[in-house]
Amino acid sequence: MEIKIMKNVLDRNQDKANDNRKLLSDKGITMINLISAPGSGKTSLLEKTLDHFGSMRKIGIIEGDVATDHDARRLAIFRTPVLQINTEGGCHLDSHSIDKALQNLDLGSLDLIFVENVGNLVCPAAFDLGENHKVAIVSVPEGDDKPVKYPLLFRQASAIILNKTDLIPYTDFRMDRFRSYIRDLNGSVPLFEISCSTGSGLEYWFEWVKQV
Amino acid sequence: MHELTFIENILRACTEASQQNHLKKVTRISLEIGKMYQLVPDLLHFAFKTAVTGTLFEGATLDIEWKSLTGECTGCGHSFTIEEFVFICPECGSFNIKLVSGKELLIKSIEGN
Repeated sequence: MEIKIMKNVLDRNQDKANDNRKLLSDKGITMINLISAPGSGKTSLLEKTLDHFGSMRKIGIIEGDVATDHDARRLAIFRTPVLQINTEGGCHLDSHSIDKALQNLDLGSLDLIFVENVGNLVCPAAFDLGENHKVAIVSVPEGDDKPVKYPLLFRQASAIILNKTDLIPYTDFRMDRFRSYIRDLNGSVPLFEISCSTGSGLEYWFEWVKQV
Repeated sequence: MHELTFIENILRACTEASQQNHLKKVTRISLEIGKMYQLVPDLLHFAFKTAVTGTLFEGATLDIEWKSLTGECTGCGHSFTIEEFVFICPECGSFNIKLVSGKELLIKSIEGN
């Protein structure tokens, strides 16, 4: 006997993501989901962002890692609420873990939440957390063809960050090639070419964060 | 493995449907999967075979219809096949493309008794 199902494979995650989205909207909170490979500079970017905004925005962080709270500790010095999720082997955060995290944050005291997803360019792109924006981060040492290798993420991103631009002279990274891959995939998305080490280009990222 | 995450989700939904319909054995699961997800067919089938061992899905056929990427330009309305993940309208050059097919993750049906 044939039974029609007609359900989305990721329905369970999507339903909870929709709940998260509604809760955040009701509370007037914007949530940004930072996605990148391990070591691209998500935590460094958050350090610079928290340092810049200080008390101008009421920011909370949900930190996702397979293990340890190293990244959460780096961010805790900015006196911002940071909640660490350890997936213990899971390669991405999902909406259920974000739901639990939101229950443990004082949402009334926040207007902006950054989620630092587990370092992974594949799975996080497919799992809606209930965020307003996905931001993709890639760094120069990873190569200029990263976007075309991971089209789902770069296509869905509301903004794309290229970090570690200070290393371009020491690699064979070609900016013209990188920009053309981005243009093919997601031509209208803002691209921020930055270096968290030197501070170059960060002001444009801060401007974008201000207006979301 | 990325594919295993999808298989786990597929089996969760199919288990629920099997229980609701009192199936003792499932012989086929039919899916529609968009190529945007870049799931590797061999790995998906391998993950499926591994995950269903000892369950009511063991031995079932995983029947997948792979959906290609097609887009519609929101500027001029032109519909086209998206090749090599290039989201630019071949008619007017606009970047504003709506993805019409290629992002499906649909569990269509199961067969069993």
